[in-house]
Amino acid sequence: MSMQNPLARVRGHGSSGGGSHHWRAQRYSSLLLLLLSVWLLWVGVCLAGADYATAKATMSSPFHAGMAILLAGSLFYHTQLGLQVVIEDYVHPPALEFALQLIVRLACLVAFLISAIAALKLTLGA
Amino acid sequence: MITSLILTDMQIRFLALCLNLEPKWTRASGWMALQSQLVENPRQAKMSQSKRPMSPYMLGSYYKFQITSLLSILNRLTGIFLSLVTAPILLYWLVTLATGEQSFMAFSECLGGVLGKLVMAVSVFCFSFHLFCGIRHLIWDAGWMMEMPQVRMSGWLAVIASFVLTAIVLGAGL
Repeated sequence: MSMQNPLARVRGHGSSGGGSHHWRAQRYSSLLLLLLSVWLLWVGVCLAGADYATAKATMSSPFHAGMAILLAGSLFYHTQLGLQVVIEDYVHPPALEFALQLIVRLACLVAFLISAIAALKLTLGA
Repeated sequence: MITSLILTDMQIRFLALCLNLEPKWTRASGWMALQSQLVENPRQAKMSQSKRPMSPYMLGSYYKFQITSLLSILNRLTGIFLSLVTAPILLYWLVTLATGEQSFMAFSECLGGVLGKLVMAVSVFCFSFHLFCGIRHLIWDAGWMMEMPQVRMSGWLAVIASFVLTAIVLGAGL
């Protein structure tokens, strides 16, 4: 049994039940992406058309690998939040919408895990 | 708080301006054109008899051109492109880099081809556009630049900035 006052439990959560969580998450992840975009542009321009040795040497440094993991995390989180809204707005059959939302969430989670593993493998040299 | 759920006067004004208070279809000629279209469609003929005003799609010919609605839909479209094309490319690039030289060079060759270069150029533009439109949204969220002339000005600024950044990145990457 919760000791929380029922009014405190619902206050500020609106009809969606989630309050402004989605809205805030989208903004905070976009702020993070704004900072990481500078890194992405820098690395992207430096490594455009680079050979394997150069690209590997760059991405093997702990700094760049860490930034890649941070970018993957915020990018795929922001992607999930954005695609969720698009699906909510345009896909109306309930079963299809549910399936798509599930697929998007799963795909974004898997994409983050794969990029994190790849970046760790590069920097740890496994 | 009940007060936080009620839109402030400022927010209502902003929404009304964004949604275009004076759409063409409320004028006589536009409304007649809309009606004749509906009558041509037998399924909707019954609806037009009730003479209920229906809201046409924001970017249709019933509305005059507005930078606000155009940038809004383009921001969403570039976001979808970034999600479905650009992010997977970045992910696959990192994976091939971690896998080995053979797969990395194969993918590099793919990206270096005509189609690859085109996709990367579109990706860079979508990235820049979504970036500057996102900054615009964050500025609004802070409560700034919400007067209509400022909204239009920042819209054009975002368009120009995204073209400039695209040119710089593509120029530097070549």
